Amino acid sequence: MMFFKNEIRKILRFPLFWVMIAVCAGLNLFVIADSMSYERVGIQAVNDYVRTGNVPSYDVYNVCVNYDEVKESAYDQYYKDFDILAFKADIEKMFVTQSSAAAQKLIDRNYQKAAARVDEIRQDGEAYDHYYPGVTFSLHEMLYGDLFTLLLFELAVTACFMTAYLMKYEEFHDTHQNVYATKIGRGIVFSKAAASVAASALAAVIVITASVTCFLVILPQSWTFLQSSVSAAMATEDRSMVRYPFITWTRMSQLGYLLRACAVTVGYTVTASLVTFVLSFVSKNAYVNAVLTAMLYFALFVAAVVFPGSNLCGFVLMFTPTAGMLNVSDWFMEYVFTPYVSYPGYETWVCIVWQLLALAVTLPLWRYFRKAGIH
Amino acid sequence: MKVIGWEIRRYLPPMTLLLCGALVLLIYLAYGKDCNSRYRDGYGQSYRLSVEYQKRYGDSIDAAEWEDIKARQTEERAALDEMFESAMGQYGIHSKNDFDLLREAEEQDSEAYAEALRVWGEDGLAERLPHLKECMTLAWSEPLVSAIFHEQGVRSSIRQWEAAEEARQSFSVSQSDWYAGESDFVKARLKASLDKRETAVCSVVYSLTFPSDYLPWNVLICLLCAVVILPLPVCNTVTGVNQLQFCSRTGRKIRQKQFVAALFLTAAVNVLTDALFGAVYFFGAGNTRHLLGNRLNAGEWDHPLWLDLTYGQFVWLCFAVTLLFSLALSCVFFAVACGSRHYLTAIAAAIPLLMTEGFVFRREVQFLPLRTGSAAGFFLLPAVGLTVAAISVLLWRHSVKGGTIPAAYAAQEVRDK
Repeated sequence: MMFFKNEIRKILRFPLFWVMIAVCAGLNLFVIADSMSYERVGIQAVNDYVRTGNVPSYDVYNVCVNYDEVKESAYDQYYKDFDILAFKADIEKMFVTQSSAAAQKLIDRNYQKAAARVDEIRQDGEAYDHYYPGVTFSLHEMLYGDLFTLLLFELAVTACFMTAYLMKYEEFHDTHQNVYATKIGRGIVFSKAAASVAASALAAVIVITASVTCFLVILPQSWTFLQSSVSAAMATEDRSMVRYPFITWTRMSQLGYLLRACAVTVGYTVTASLVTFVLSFVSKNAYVNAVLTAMLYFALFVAAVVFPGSNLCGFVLMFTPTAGMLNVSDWFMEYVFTPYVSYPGYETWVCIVWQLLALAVTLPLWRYFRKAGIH
Repeated sequence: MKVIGWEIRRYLPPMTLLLCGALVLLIYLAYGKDCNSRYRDGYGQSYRLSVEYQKRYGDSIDAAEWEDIKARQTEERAALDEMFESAMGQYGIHSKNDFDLLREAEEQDSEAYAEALRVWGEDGLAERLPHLKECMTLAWSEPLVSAIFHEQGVRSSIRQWEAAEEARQSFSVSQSDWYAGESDFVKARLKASLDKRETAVCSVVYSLTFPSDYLPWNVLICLLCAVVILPLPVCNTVTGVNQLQFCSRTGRKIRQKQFVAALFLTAAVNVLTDALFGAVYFFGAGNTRHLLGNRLNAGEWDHPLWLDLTYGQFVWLCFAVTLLFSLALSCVFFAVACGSRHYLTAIAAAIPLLMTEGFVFRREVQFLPLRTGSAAGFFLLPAVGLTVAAISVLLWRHSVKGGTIPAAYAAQEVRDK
């Protein structure tokens, strides 16, 4: 515990840690303010219109009329005849995706669950929840597609830098010959890893709290927004090329979705920290360590984008932190255009499996490091 | 010069070269290889046709040539129908029209369904509908998919040429309020440019998207500069090499040589990457080199450009602007690296710089020929680059004279005296 405290103190005293947090939070605030600057007026107008029944001003007349139209027609338009299996078949026809038998079986099984979920949404009234019209404001895309994607990349970079700094702290200060001269000294790398993970999670919590709080403060009547269901018909937005509702795997309010997304974001940050920790065993200095981690993430991104495959290999290539970070606005729900990630718990399992994988790879590397020469 | 050569070698250890190779490969796979996708595959049919017609008819098409093209369109359609017959005849689909009708007739409430019932009867439609998936698969596979795009390309090209010619004839400077508030100089340039404007055969297929096509390569150049330049000055600080070097009068000049070496390397990175890009973009599968001689003003562009450039001249301009940006960035990278005591600080400082460069390139260069205000658009970027470079040089000179290692420097000053 003493080692852990000392290690975490090193990070907290590293100016770059606080600079990174400030820069990330600042950039996020800019992105939120920029994207909300126009939408805020419309959202406020819709709020006033719902409360008083009068259109606040001529400029926002269209927004209020659009609210009425969406409110009346959303369910009929998006849920009444919506058959997700037929929709999936259409997409398959359009792109002529020919998956292998095993892959197709898995995809079909997952979409059976999605179809059952659509029936549930129709029956339990989630589809009728009130919400700011998704087609007008695209709040889901704004919050998750833009802000959370940015957050994930910022926090991965921060976690990578902090872990690389701490793992190569001794070499940088030329104390490694003393520290690694004893068995206990070599074991200090685990305290370093724990401290890096804790510091990365701390950075994630600070940046996420600042960003999400800012979003909710700028968004008028944010409590109303948080209470409605993600799968509400009114929340339907344009998703890639088509407009269809968000079919979450379980019943989920906006607040529940937000909290889950925050938790998974912290998980991805911790994963980045652990991956950097593993690569530190094969890196000469912090520069190489950070660059290797960045290259690994980039290579995984290229693999997910360029070689998606049409068999079970597709599931493996999409089962990476980078692939998970690309589809934030489709977390916890089905996603037709990338069927390989359309199954319950995909985001969480990616985090858990990659963290376990990192720990498993650490064992042989630790054995090597325990006996390696220190010169 | 010999020292500069040694410094260049120090900038390029095997690991850095390996890293650069990996970066080039990954960016090529992710973005680079598709940079001319709008001119190849199915989407490139219009372009390929334009090139073919340009060779056959010259830069513009007269009335007799139009008739020739339209007759050819009929032949293309007959050939396509023949291909449909041989591929899908067994399912009762004998032409492209049959295929379109069947595809649209899947919706039972649609007009196409009623039309299909009228043409094939209830039994005929019931026989054909179950084979729709097979037909779709055949239509989206070679060689039918290419033939479909080819035939579509012929049709859309004719429509586009007609529309472009009409727009060209109806357009005049006075009709556009885009340049209403501009100076006489700009208006004169614009008029001269418009007088030469004509609807070239290739004109319908390109717009000013080159900066977007080139952006991944521009980012690659700046990334490579960062990867090559950042580590060495930091390494000199971390390992204490600076202390040794600055203890002699000659040694203190080495940093200048390192700076010059960094600039040489930046230029080399630009030349190599641009050469690779040129090979991929202009001689790759799309073979877009036919665009080079065409005027930008003849292209699909809403507003006339006051600079009368050809596509090729614009490409050189983009290369030049990227070189300038990367040189300025290299100066800043060098200054940042000289002032950093830790690798991570240098990398962290480089990230926003790279983001800013990418943003400025994408935002500004796209509209460079459209920007008004005489030559300001072109001279602004070099001016900013030179200012940044001058500040960087001042910064690292300061770090040598008394910033980073004042004690060593002061001691040597005393000894020198």
